[in-house]
Amino acid sequence: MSPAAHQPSKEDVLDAFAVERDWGREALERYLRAYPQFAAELIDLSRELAREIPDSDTPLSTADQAMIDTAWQHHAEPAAADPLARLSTQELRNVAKRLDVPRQVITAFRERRVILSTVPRSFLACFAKTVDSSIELLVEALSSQPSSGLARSYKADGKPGGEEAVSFERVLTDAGVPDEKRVQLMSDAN
Amino acid sequence: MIAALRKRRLTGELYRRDPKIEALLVELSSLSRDDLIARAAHSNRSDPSYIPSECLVYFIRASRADNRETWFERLYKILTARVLRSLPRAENADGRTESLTRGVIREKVFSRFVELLAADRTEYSEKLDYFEVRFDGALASLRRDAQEQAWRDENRSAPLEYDEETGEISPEIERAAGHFDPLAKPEIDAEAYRQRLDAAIEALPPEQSRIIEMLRQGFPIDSKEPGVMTIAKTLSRSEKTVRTYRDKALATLRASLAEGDER
Repeated sequence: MSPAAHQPSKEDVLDAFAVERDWGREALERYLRAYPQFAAELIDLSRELAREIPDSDTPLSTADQAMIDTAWQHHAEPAAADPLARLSTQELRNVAKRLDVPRQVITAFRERRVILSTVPRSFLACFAKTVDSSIELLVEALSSQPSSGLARSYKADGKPGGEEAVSFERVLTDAGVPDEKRVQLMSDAN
Repeated sequence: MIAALRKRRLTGELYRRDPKIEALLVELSSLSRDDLIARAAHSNRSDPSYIPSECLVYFIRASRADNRETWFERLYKILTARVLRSLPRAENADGRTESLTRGVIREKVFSRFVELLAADRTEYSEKLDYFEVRFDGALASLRRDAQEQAWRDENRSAPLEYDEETGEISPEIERAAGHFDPLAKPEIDAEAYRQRLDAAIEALPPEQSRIIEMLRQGFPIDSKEPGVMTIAKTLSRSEKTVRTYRDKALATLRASLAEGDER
């Protein structure tokens, strides 16, 4: 294995080792030599890989069944209610383009970092139309917890949501929207 | 037509599914959805009609395009049930006590897995490709990740309590470790023994469990030859420290396994 020009991340190295055809000493040694900085993690992973998978015939406990049902509900319901959660990155980009704002403005909405009462109704109306929703549904969705962005919360050390919600105008300023455009967006007249 | 994977190996080329999985996917694609679900419900790996989880991940992801939530829901529930079944349970082998850490790891892995499925539903997530290449390995990687977080949360990586350089191992520990070799497979009741051994090893301080894992893989503690990969070198510890940790670990393992025998 020749290490790539840029150093791969710890996650990439560990995942690559995890899906090797053989997890024996030879493979472990190869990875330890190539990525000594991840030695402890590779050895921990080697032990996990060697675990015998428990007998899969055992029936699920009530608690396990409940975990699956809850996961499914979380998956099925908010996705239907949150018009932003179901958008792909490309679609989010398109929404930003159609509303003529930088993408981080849409991301701020998606991550519930905008105080909704500070958003002009005309902007909300355009926003709702762009994501095939109504103002009511959009406002309702944006007032609840986000249903995606979970991957981000998982990676962070602390709990997500540490960022305070700010006014729409502030979001526009932070995103570098020029003064003139900002005034126009705030004027509620377009 | 089975869609190719997009994740690249560390060496740059694209990952590919195992040819057996690819062949099975072609075969399974011709089944009706009901027949496929009926087969997917078989959870015993030794069953000849068992569908490997790699294939279920493929069908779940392929269903992204067709917007049929009922079909997705059925596959989703079968696959997530498999994930739960394969994760070590919190209950200990004695049936009375349970491991808090194992419970936490189980929950973390499960929620991470369902997050990955949800994310992939919105937009292709290359991370899930690993689950189509080798499901058990990819899941083991999530377990390790969750374990690292659980250890951090419980502060388990705290340094050991004795002086590494001058500390001599006590004669009691040395005697307790003795010639005990927990890694030699016993012939009777191997599966139950392995489960107890796994539980005992995972309860060790991380550094000790790493030494045990390297011993299991056959790495020498130390070597006079410069190019040899040794435990001491890998863990950046002196040979003496590694031996001391090893003896401590063996003594703990012996005590834990003996407790199980007294039942």
